[in-house]
Amino acid sequence: MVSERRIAANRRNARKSTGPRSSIGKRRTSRNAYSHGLTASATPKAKYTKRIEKLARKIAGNTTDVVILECARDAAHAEFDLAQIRRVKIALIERMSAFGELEALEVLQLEAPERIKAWRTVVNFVDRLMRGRPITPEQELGLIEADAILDRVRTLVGLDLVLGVHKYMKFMKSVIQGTAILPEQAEAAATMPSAQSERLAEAVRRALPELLKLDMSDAPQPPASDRFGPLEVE
Amino acid sequence: MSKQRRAQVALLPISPLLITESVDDFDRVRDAFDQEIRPRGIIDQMYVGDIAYLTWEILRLRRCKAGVINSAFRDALEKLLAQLLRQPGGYAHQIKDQADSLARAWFSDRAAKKQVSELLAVFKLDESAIEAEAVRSSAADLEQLDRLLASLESRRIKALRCIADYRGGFARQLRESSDRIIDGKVLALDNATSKKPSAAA
Repeated sequence: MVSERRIAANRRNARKSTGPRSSIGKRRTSRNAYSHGLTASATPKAKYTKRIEKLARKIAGNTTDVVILECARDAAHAEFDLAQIRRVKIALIERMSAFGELEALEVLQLEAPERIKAWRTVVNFVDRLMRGRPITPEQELGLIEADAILDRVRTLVGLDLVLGVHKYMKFMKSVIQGTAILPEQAEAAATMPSAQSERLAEAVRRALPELLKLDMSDAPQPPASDRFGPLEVE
Repeated sequence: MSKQRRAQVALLPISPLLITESVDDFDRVRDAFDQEIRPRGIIDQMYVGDIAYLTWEILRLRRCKAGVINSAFRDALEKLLAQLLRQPGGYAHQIKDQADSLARAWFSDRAAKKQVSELLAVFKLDESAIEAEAVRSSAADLEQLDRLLASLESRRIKALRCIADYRGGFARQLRESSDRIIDGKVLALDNATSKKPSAAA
């Protein structure tokens, strides 16, 4: 039995706790009630509850033994879980086959003044560094921001640093000033083969990391003696 | 498939297929296992369904494996040709265009195919060198595909073993139950014979 004193102390302590304060903490705790997508039982299984129960009854036979029924329910649930994972796999391959990617790349939408400002920040930073002048924390922050913008420009252009620093700086400047002709960013779907069998092979190849992750969820079944051991013939 | 079996299969979740895959072909694979294993109850049906689906996935991945190698063929040929065409002291970029156009032509032009064969023969190579390069360049993808295939195959073997285990246990239980029934019947028959007069009496 919990004492009155302990209850009062618990209430006092609870009042002190106001939950997460940071936005990250709030976001994290807002999902506390959810479980992992593939093992979450609420939404997808609710649709199948009746069918799972029907299958469990069939597995258990005419028994009224609660333990046997529970084991049969487990087996029926596992059967539907497996089917769900298989559906997810199929959906991933289909999506990859249609779009050539699972997440669309962010399209670069930068206004010219923004690009020029980013470029100037970088040039000033390098200049100060070369002349041995001190860099303020604000300038450093500005550089991080500028670098992120320039990184998006680099991604769009598909530029690597093999060019050498001078050529690279010259080219980037022309890109930012709008004098360089940018190559068209290829649509991922356009890089997929058109022939059906080749397209499937390419879709599976691109989805391999996700398929391997799903393969871990698609755990091997326990031996029959474990799954159906307690069942008895009536 | 008998009515009873159809009713049992209807209880199980539907096996999802790709839109490009044939439901009839999948049913044929399932029926083949059905014929071979002859499932007796719902548990057998679950195993048969699982084995049929695993087999289907294995076939799909094997097709993909061949597809991955085939689609790496052109790049492989281009790389190989760049090596074959390069003169001593020359640079790769000098023969890049030539290698590219020859690799492109190899798929449709007989003369180009012959030219490639002759180039390969100079270095005592044949067309298997192209395949080897295609396999080598897609080794990372093939390794991942192999991991998936190995996982599916081990699961299929386990499911087959599970049927044998389950049936062994099931047969043992049946035997024990029937033994008990027989023992009971024999006893009941003994009692019955002692009470009822025989036909000969």
